[in-house]
Amino acid sequence: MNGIKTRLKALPPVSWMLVLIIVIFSLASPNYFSLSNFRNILIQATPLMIVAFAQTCIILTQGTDLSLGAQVSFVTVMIVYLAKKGVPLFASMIIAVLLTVLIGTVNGTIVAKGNILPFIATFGMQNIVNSISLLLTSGSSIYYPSYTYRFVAESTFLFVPMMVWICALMFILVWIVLRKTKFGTNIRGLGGNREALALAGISPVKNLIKTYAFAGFIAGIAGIITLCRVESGQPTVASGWEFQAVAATLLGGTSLREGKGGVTGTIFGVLLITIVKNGLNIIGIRSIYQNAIIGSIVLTAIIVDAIIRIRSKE
Amino acid sequence: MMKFMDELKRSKSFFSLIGLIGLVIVASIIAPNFRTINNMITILRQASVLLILSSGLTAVLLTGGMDLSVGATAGLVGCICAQLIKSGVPIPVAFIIGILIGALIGFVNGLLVGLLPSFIATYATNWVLTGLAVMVMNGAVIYDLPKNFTKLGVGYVGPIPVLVIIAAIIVVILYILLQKTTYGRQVYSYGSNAEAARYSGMPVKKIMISTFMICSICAGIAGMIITARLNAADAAMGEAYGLQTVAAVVIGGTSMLGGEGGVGGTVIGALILTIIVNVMNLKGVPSFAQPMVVGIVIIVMVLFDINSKRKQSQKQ
Amino acid sequence: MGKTILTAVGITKVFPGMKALDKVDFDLRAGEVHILVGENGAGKSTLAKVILGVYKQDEGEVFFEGEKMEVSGTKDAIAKGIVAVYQEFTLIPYLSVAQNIFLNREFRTKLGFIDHKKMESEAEALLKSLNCEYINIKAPVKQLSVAEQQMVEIAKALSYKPRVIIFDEPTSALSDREAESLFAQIHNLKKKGIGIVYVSHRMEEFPKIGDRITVLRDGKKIATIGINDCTDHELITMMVGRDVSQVYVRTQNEHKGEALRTEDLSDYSGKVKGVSIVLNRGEIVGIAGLVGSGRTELAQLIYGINPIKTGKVYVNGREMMPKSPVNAVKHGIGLVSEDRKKYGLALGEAIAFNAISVSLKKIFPKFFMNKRKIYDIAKQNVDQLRIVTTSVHKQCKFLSGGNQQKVVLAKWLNFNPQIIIFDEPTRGIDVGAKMEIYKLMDRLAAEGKAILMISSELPEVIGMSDRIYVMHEGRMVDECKRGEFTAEQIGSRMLGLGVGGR
Repeated sequence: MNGIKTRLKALPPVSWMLVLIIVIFSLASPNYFSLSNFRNILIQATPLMIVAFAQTCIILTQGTDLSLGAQVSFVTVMIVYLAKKGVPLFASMIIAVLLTVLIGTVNGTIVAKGNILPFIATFGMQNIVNSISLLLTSGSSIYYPSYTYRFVAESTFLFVPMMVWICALMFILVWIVLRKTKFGTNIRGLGGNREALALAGISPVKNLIKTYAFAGFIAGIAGIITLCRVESGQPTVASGWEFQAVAATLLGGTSLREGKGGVTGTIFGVLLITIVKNGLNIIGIRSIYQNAIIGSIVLTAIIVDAIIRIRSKE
Repeated sequence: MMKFMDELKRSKSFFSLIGLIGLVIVASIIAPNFRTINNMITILRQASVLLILSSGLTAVLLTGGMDLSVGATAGLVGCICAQLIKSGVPIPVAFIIGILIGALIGFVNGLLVGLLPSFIATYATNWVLTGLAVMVMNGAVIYDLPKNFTKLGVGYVGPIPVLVIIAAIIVVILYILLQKTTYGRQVYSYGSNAEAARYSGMPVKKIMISTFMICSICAGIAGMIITARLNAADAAMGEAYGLQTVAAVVIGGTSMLGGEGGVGGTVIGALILTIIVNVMNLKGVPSFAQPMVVGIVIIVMVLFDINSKRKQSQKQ
Repeated sequence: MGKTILTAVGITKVFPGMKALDKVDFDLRAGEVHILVGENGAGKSTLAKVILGVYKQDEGEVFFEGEKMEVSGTKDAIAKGIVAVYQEFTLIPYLSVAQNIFLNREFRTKLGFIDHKKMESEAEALLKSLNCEYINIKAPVKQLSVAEQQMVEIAKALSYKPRVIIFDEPTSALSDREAESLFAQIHNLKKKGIGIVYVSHRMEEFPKIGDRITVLRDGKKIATIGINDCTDHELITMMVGRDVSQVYVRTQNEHKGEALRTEDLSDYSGKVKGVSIVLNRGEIVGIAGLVGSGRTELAQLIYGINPIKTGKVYVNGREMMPKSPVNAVKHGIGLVSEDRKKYGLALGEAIAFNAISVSLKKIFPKFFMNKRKIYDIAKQNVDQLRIVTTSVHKQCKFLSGGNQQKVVLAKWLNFNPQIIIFDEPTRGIDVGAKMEIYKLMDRLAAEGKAILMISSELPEVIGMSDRIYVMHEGRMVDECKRGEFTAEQIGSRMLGLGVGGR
């Protein structure tokens, strides 16, 4: 019993907000609290969830990658673009993901070797990548029909949607990297004490580049999933996700300082954001109001969280 | 004059100025229609909004902060102003309300920055403000504003566009404020070392919040001018300016780390950027490619900035 | 005592603006503790870092077991068995104790993943050998106390199975009991034939552990002597470079009424507990205490950096609420902080702008300013304080420590506060600049200013103060007047021994 209590206490404050918001929506709409709706929420959360895992790794190094959303959009565009040129769909996917790894490597190199603040370097990269996507599509969506999309987006395995399985797989991957590998130790070191890494003979530059490349890889996977959901290459489909991912990560208890936190908390953060979006839809709030409302809620949540943390320090 | 040249050489904006001159020469060669007086006035007119936005943002960057919400602030204030005018509020009153709303947004940004890193806080307000702009417009677009208002955007005094005059006034005010007053000195001190400024008994919170207010007021004015120029208001009209504004300030030699640079450099930066976009338009480069060029210029300029600083400190 | 394992010959290291080491020789034998001593800025840490390969020396050579060392970076030094326990912690806050100890030498399972279990059992054994089995090896080091972190740092060094260990002020964060267990451990290491370089300026520790002492001053080696071959007084004289009585200038002058008084002052962090002090005009009052005794926190409380939990502050007999430095400055209080690079100066700004940063509004009450006037004032400061610089436009980061500190002083002189708190005013600056600062403090007191001086350098406190308060673990444990105290008495009070009145 005591064990459960301490475990509950260890949960980030966001999990309590999550419960609160579910209660509010359940009261506001009778058809909210249903299995099918929660299944829906899980599916809706998937692409952002994966992006947020990538963002969490970056934030653990005291950085932020504002190009992740652009990378996701880019992958949807690139795959369709290549497929239309006759490259097999599967090969196009691999190429697109390799390209995001490359983008991440460039990001990491600029940040680590150029010693630039991560957000400005990746802000520049966001625009470069967006430009490429827009140029490839002339600004509109492009299509390449395939059954693969349906297989990923709509099939289930053991009653659980395929999308959720993929998401779980990515979670395990990132969790293992952070917890069970040297690379993960080094990621935390980058955020916690770079000098200590260097004194132990670990190169901060190399590991920083690796981290951004790793984030690029994860964003690439998120891009494939997104393509399967929207079934087209859309140059702006994921714009703003990088920020939602930052918000989710911070809500999940990962700190911008000292390499504190991890991917488990991020799950709660993403769920909070997705549940807010989903709930607003269900209780019938017009979509033009939604961005402002979601933005305010997320901002409020981050601020409350920050205040709690500052208070607890005093 | 000698002293002026000395001071110029010491500042990083010197390189930006050389860059601007070089760019003008290159542009004149590759695009013959660049050299016409008409095009020069067009450039100044195109640069005006960016000048207002980026001069304001300079104050924030000088404190070591960042405001990614200028585009959305411009959009929201422009929309509110248009709605007010449409519903019969006198133009000067609408203008003043717009400025006050700008100040309020800046105040909120400043408060948030006390809690969160500035780029995250303002990225979030950017999102909220864009949403609010959509709400203000109720998803629609407003056309046909009164002539007295649109004059601000399209009118001329003699051969000079009203727009350019407004931009020049704002630039000069900000230049004096930041270079010639004790307030400006405090902004620089805060940006160089916020803790040392606090230990020197400066009102650091007020300084920081006030720079965000300056920035948002400028963004508000810019938004109203955009509305006047377009003779229309649309929730997304400020969006494109966010990146360009950051780029103009950074290209002008103001350091992202605070305490270095100034409005003078930003003017050069805004002109460089406008000329690049102008030449791309003249040469028929698709508009989709423009963010890429701007993004590359930002990264290169910041790399250059940091590395030149490193070299400088090795030399001494 | 064993044979010599490490020799450094003619080491010179130059930093911008100062020569940190000037042709220094040093040698270390197996199984000895060789103490490196000197004032702040004498070059102790620099020498240690050259041996470790963190810095590359400009001249001279280091030999390890007779072989010339070509190390670039700590990795090479570690490979040779030379490790360090640093003054600033090199731990990663959100990795576990075990992970920190084995950073970059993680045990792996067959699959290549980190073997947490094995690392934890190894770490446990290491900490047990240090009598620290109470430290939770699974906890992130962030949750450990400073002393526990220090022990983890030591365990980490031992885990390399080193031949040479360099300790850089290891006891500055430890309690007496913890320090004693560290000394016991050092004796064990000696027996195993490990050579130990011990950097410290706490003289009371030397006889407990040391074999030989090397004294550095202003980057030069002054002497290497056996631990029993000199007295404390001789040692201080060697460190300071002249007889202590000549260094400290104090003219007697009248004390004219109370300037500052605190009543029962406490802060929220628990580092200051019910402190009451009185400071008179024309008086220099010293606060002696170890690092972490709450001295700096007390200064910050009075200056309004941190909020007051309980207690009151009176300036000229009237109560004042120090809510922020803005308020403190308004009441005529100045603070020369302990860390001039962090809190004292904007290093990237010109000398002139730093020099007027406090008095800006006083010089230009009408909002608009005139840069020429600023430069003129700064030029006067440069002449008056003999700041060595080519121009007042020079950025402060290019000045030496002593000259930087003079700019900080200029900042306050221009403002002319009635109460000045000096927190470690001579940290990391050379003896010449130190003496000038002492003279200045003496002059300020003679002018009727009230001066509070915080310092961990006992000779300084004793030499300069009219009165001394001793702080220990957040409390004032003693107060004594000039001529009523000896260094030994104050030193033992600082350590919390023989707690007297108050």
